[in-house]
Amino acid sequence: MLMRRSLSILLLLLAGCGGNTTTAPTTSTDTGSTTTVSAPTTSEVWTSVLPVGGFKFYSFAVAVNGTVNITLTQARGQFVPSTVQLAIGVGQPSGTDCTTTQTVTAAASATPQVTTTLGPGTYCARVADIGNLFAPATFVVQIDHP
Amino acid sequence: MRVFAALLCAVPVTAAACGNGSTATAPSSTTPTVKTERFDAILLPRTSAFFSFQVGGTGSVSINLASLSALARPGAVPAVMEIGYGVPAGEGCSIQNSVQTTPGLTSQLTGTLAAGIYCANIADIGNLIESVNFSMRITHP
Repeated sequence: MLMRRSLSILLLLLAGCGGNTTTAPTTSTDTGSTTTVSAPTTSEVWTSVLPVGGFKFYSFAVAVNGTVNITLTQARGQFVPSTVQLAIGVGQPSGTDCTTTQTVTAAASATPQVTTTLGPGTYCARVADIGNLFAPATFVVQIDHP
Repeated sequence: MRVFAALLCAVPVTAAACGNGSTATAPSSTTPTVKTERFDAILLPRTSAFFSFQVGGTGSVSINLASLSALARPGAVPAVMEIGYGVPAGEGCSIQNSVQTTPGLTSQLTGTLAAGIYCANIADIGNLIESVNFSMRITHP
């Protein structure tokens, strides 16, 4: 009789713990939730001059989670071949630079060199000379984002 | 009786296990650490410069233009400059709040900002006749 009552007490205590156990699935539900990836709705065109051995960055705001395309469409100038390869990246403004999370080395093209998915926030596109320039280059970058 | 004693011993262990579950959720409510970042650079007459920083959570942000000094000679430059904060946009900083001030020991500009990326800006409003070294301190959550 005593043993049965004791077992009942223990079961009640374990049931109390069960309340905490129920919090765990909430976390996994959050992780498993699907996020909508929106298509770009805004297009920003950034024209600037890249000095020899230098870099430039351009900040933009992403409103909702979605696809961001960065396209170096043009690089030109005296002593600058249109096929010159530059570093093109995407990241977040930090200090006096843009800390990139994705970078590629590519020549100007009509096809996006960088495509990524970003959540709402402030981001930056970065263009840098990797040692190919002998004179400043005028470049055009198109940034498409939600 | 022996079984009852064993079950009683299990009670604190069970309670401790419950306690651990509750404690794990507590750190989520901690306030973000306050940081101070320095922005030291050179400013040319009639130009501006900005520095991006990340605010970890809603809180007070203060900006202090601590010093201005000439590049070519010793001594402080007591010129009135415009300092401000805003969000990085394009090739600059889109200003939300600003003040015109001379360098000082205390913050000249404060505000409350939510979590996100912001920028501190300094601009010459026409008072510089030579390039200067400047030092700004940005304190934020």
